[in-house]
Amino acid sequence: MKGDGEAHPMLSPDDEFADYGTWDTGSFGPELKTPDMLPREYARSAYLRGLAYEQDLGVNPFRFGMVGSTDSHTGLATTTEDNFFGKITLTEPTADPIRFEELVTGRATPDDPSDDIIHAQALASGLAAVWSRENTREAIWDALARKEVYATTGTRLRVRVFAGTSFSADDLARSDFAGHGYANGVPMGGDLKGLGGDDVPGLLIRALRDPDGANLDRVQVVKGWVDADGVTQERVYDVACADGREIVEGACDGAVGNTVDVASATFTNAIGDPFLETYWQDPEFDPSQSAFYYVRVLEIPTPRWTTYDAAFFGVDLPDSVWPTHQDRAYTSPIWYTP
Amino acid sequence: MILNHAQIRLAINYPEICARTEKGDFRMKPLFTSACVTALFASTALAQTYTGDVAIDAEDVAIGQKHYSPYLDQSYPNRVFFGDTHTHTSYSTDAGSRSTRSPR
Repeated sequence: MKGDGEAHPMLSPDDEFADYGTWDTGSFGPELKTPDMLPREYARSAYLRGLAYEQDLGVNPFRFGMVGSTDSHTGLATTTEDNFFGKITLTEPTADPIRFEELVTGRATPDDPSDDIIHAQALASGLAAVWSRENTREAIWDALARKEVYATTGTRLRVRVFAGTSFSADDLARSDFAGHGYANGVPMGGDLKGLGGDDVPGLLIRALRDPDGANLDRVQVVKGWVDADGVTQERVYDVACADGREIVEGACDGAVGNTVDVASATFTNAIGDPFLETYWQDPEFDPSQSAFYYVRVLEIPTPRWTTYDAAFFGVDLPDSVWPTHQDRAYTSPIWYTP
Repeated sequence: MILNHAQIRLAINYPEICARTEKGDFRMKPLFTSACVTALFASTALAQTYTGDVAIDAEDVAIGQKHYSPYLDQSYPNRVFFGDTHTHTSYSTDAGSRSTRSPR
């Protein structure tokens, strides 16, 4: 709710989707945000810094899984745009301007509006998604412990990943897809180690939209690694594109489009695909370099909660946020260690 | 006799079944006598499920003997559950002191 923590556009300037729900101006104290703070505040840079620490220390302190959650203060975990009950009771659904204008950060510096973030910028997010054997405390705990989890920004899309060196595109069609994946590879949150020869990590990826939600735009693999000079690098690959778009130089050929009617706060699934799957092999794999891979799945554009509010209450759209956005999922990484 | 996870877990989780079996008042005595013996040997390894290695391994893809139903032989994750790991309710000072009343 208080900003999206996957990536920041200044840290990942080549990632055109990095600027999602960014909260980077405010704090809850008197200190203003400075750019040197950013690398310590986003998951992707933590994963990269973890690889760098591993070079120096022999251990990676940032091998964590990826989940989303709300930090709601209302007792309600409302994470969808069309059903957002706000951060605190004061900002529950109402036509009152407080719903958009309530100050969340910058309270400690009343004379300086540069660090103000208002409630209109809150995200109707997020959810922790857990791959589990069964709905028991033990099984869910085990899933969290092995990091077989992913984050969503509020919708219930389903993402599955297996990484290994013996997979092929034919495995996508197997009736025992998951059993084969577990028996011959590792799921999200897992490890690959010490590959040599011609072995190259390959990822089997399946993504299914929220059954009551929006179609998918694309599936991406985010790779981070430490290069031969010991410098951390990152790259985002588009690996599956809806609507038959080709992948040109690692990116979907063109945007998916936008069906949102802002005035009525509606969209249609006339664009995008309900299901995307692919087999992807790292084209730049170097077995001597530490790396991680995680999957990001983007939905097609949908109305933001503020747009639903404007349509329902007949109030003006806030100018601090875009009227549409692309909900998404981020999986826990799969780490490769030489 | 080859036992599946469920039978072994039953014997571990409900030792009274073992006790009753030893007294001879449990109908499925042959099965559970075997389960209880297996549980004695297996309990150390299975107990580690909760503290150490929780990885899915090859045994989880095909457990034990061949069954007609493939699901009896599977112990790998096949469901996604969605939840929230950070929610303030009325029990939270941050929320309860600011008029959050749910749950009462």
